[in-house]
Amino acid sequence: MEIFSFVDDVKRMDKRQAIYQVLNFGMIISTALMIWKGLMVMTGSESPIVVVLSGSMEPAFHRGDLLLLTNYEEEPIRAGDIVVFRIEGRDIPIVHRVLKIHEKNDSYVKFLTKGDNNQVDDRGLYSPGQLWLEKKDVIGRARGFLPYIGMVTILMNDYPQLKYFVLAVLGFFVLVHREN
Amino acid sequence: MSSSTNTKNISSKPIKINKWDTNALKNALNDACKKYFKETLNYTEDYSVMDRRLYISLISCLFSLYALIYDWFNPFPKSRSVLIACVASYFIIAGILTFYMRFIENGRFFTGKLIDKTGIDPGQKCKIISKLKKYDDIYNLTLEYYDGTNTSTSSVAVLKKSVGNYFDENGVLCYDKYINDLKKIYDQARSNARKVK
Repeated sequence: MEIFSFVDDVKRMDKRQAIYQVLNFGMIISTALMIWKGLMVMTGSESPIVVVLSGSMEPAFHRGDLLLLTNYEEEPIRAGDIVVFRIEGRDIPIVHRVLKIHEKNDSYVKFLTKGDNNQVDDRGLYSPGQLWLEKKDVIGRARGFLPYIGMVTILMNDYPQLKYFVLAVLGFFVLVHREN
Repeated sequence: MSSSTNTKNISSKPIKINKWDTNALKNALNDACKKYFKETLNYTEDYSVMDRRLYISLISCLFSLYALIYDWFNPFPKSRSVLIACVASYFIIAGILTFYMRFIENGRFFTGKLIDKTGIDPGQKCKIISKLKKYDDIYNLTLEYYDGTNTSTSSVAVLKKSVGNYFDENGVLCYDKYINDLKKIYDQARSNARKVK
């Protein structure tokens, strides 16, 4: 069967060819990783690309949109900015708009957020006793967006078996396909 | 047909590949050429070109691994300078690798030495380069033959034939036909080198 012709191809690989296949696979993964880390460094944000998970920012952002974030120290947070923040103790980032800020002369800021599509501000989401967010909670400010593309990520997270299956199949093909 | 998994047995079975896949065609012809030089002509393969490629890939992967581990233990803002250094080095080394594979290696898949058992002759070297363009059927095999350690006595022989000459309808390699042509250009290269001497 022609589909399984690669099995013979693999058997004919000598030791160095096999090592090269593994290193080639490693280099593909490394390229993706280095692009991600490079983006992290360029934008100053620990997670430069996030997916909108809820409909709390409609009609601006819908569930499944991809956001590009930046987190530059020199740019102050102002009311009206769309920020992505993480509440202490929870690991899901939230995308909402800044409503009010308090700022001191030494540029220490406290701010309050609210989703455009929500009825109340986010104080109900913050940790018990927390009334304001600080700069350290912010992952970044939304600077660009791509519609719909994040649905793939949402799908992969809802069905982890699908994610592992796709990754396994891709990895298998990279390891087995011989191109000198 | 023996069902042993001995590698010699596998290599002596006729190679069957997908005849429409140019990569598989090139690899099959290259493998057969290497087999002829190693088993029939008794050349010992020199792995230094391939090894250098492997080392460059390994170094670049190590940089990315180091960046990953360092960032895992020192979360982002602290690891900024290390990340910049690793990302820059990774892309520079990946660039070096591409340059190496494209210009220096350039399709060379076999470098071999023939050591004279009696120790009188200094030995012969062979460098073989193969090229097969993506949707093309003409297989270009360039054989550079060096007689002795003096690199001025060298000659080049070229084999340029359609892959249709060597594979049958089912994609099975006709080893003997291919070896005949290989033998012709090898002898041609050897006699040319002797003439130059």
